[in-house]
Amino acid sequence: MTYLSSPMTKAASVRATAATVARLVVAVEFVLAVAAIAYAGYHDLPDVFVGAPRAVPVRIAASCGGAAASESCAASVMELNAGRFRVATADSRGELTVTLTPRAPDRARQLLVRVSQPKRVELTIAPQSAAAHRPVPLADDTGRVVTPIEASSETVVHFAAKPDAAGPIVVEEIGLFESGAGLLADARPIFRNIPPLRYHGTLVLRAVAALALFTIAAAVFLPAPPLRRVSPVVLAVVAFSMCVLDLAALYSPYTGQDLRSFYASGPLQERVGANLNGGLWQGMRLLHGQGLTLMDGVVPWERMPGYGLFCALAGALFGHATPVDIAISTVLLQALFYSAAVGVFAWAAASVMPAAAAWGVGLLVAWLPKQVGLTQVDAIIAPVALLVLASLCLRLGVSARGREIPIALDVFVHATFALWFAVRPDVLPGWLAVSLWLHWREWRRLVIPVTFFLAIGCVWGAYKARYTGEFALTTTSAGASLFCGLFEVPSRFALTCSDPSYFAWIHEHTPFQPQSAAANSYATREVIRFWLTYPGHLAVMLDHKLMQMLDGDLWPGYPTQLQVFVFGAVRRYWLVQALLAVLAVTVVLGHRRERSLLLAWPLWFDAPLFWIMFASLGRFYSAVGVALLASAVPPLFERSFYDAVAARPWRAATVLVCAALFATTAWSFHDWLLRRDAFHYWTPLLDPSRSALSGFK
Amino acid sequence: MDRGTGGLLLTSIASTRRARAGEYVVILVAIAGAWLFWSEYGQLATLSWWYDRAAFAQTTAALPKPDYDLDSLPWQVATPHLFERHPGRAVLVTDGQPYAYQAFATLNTNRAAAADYQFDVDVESGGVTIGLLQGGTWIATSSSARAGAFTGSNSTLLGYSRSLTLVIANNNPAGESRAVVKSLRLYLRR
Repeated sequence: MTYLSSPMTKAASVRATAATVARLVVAVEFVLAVAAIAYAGYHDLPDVFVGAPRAVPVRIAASCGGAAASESCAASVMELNAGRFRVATADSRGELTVTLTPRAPDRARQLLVRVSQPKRVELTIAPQSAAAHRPVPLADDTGRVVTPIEASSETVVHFAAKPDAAGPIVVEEIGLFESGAGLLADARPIFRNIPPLRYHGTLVLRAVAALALFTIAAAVFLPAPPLRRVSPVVLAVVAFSMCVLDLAALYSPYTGQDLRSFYASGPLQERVGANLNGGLWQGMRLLHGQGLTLMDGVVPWERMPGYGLFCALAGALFGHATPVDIAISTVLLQALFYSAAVGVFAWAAASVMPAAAAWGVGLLVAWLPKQVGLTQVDAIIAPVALLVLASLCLRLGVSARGREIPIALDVFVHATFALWFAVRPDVLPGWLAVSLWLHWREWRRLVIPVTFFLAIGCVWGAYKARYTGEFALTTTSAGASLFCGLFEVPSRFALTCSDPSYFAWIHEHTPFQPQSAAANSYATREVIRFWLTYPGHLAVMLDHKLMQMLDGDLWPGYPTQLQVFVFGAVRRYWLVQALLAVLAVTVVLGHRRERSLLLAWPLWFDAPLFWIMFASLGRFYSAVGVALLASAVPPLFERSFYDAVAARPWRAATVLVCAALFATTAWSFHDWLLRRDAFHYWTPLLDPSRSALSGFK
Repeated sequence: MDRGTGGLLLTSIASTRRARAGEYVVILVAIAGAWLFWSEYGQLATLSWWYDRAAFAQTTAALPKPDYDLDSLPWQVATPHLFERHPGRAVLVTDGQPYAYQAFATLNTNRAAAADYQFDVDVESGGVTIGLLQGGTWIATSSSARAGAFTGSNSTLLGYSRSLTLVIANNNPAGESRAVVKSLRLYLRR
């Protein structure tokens, strides 16, 4: 016996020792991976939020016309940050003169310029340095150009469009700097000569993605108590780093526009109230005592007040001296909010799932494509949804321990829903459904959500009523959104999905202002009539938008190489289908069914709204994508899930086969349905001539 | 009683197997982690090596002798209007297809791990793209969309395919481009 068992025991002992060492190695690798991710983001922080090294402070004067032109005209100047400006001419005269007067002339040794219009421009500098004897040719795609200049109390920079490149001159950046370091590439301790586009746009992101995914596998082998303790803080740091890395790839000062330049030349040039500047102007005006308005006497008809307040908070915390400043402050607060929400979720989720699962979900949420660079409400829906899910996790945790739910906890749960309602009203159906689910035994607690809803709705309704003369608890844009939703689907109908199209349609058929509650009601009625008139179109629309969502729209945001690292290998559609299959197995087998269904509530009650309303290429779905991860990923880390599958293999297999059948045939069915015109334009119930939305191309 | 004992035995065997599998998996994860760190660092270091030398060469013109240059590349042409080779120089007039391949050279990688190229082109009109293809996919591209000097270098890791194609393509949505290739060097690194 001894003879036989000794070698086995010895082998087992060697294996156990190797496993112990491996666990130690994995822990070290985990720490190194997290440190590398955090460092990568930290390195990019100034590039993203500042955009350039400190410029020499200057006074700037600009005119469109030659230096000696008798007929000069105004050129607009916008400060990007101290000493760095955007200058643009309004007309097509083809000349622009910028005079820079540095406060410390001896420090002004380099001129930074980037032109985006017209296609070809010639730059001359006075006084000329030895390096700039001849005019410098610039083009709209040249990017940043740094030219040495002679120290002078005044530097005059003249831009002249080439004769074949007429149009206004737009100088995206101009400034004087002491040295050229950090203007054309970032200063790195290693790998200094790899071009920034390659380094930040591809290599770092792919490496970070690989390391991040590795930490998910590594987390499984880490001791749970310390992981649970450190996860909230570490995940918040990692999430912030990933936000910054994504922003650095999308808004690189070295290869395109930095964030400040992007806002100065893009959203802040658009009409007040456009998607990316509405909240900014509201926040700016609020901080200047002009109310939560877009301009004098105008409140947004299609938005709740929360995002304007969020922008105001960002401005108050991080600066709002200029519109560009408040935009950057808002993006920074969005990134911080996203990261903090990931941390809060990880902390709360650890009460209802293994520590490794909480890490995995948190990390995947941090890794997803994000919208934090865009100053619109959709950018903060994912973190708000994370807070909602975190509160539900806490409630599930208390419930699982068999304790009575404290009323304070329910107040917290509904406060998170209320936060969502304060920024976007699409939460209402889900809030109602979850409230009924949570409180059907203790219905008196429904008073909590009702109170929150009325408090926010009445305050915003009363505030808007001062300007609009009508009282509405939420927005008055549901009709417009339903209208637009009809025409986001391929069809032969004549109307199109756009604000001008909606406004023209309302004016054509009613005496109402398109932004009014009356127009909203009219549009809603007409859309319902249209659904009943063309039930085939309704079916096509639901199917088409469902498929768009499953195809990856539920993870909105512009994917960088951080995500393409995975999405390039596995199409998003298959990832979504796999997660849905896990969710279905979980529910059918009854493994933590309540947790799965509750954490996935945006999938049941929020996503379908956008199948009938305006989906805007999926930018409203971020909560749905987060909820799918939060509900479908944890079972994969739980041994009891696999035990449940092993206990009922046929049932699990049936679900998986059904899921596979759906996944493989859904697109074919979608394409087939789109081609069935007889069904699409079938009118079995109502007379199409009575619909104000009918009409073919 | 017997059944219970048997059940316990099976449970015990199952849990032993599970524990053993867990030990193997953690060892694999540790090895995978080490490999990941090494490969990521290796990739960056390999690319950095080339860019460090390219940056050095900008000041000293001291790039080493290439594996292939403009004269030694085994050129083939697609449908350019003109691809005229002279010692140390090639004149290209593309056809009218906006992004079509014009001239290409297919090589054996000789198990190289990375490829680097350096070029100096005068674009007289339109634009050109110079890049590397492997397995039908671009693995490195350098593009100019306007007339003027077009110089630079690029570096990429190679895949497992044994062949590599260096391509000069048109990059002018409006049609024909004209360019003089003054230098084109290709380096293959093990």
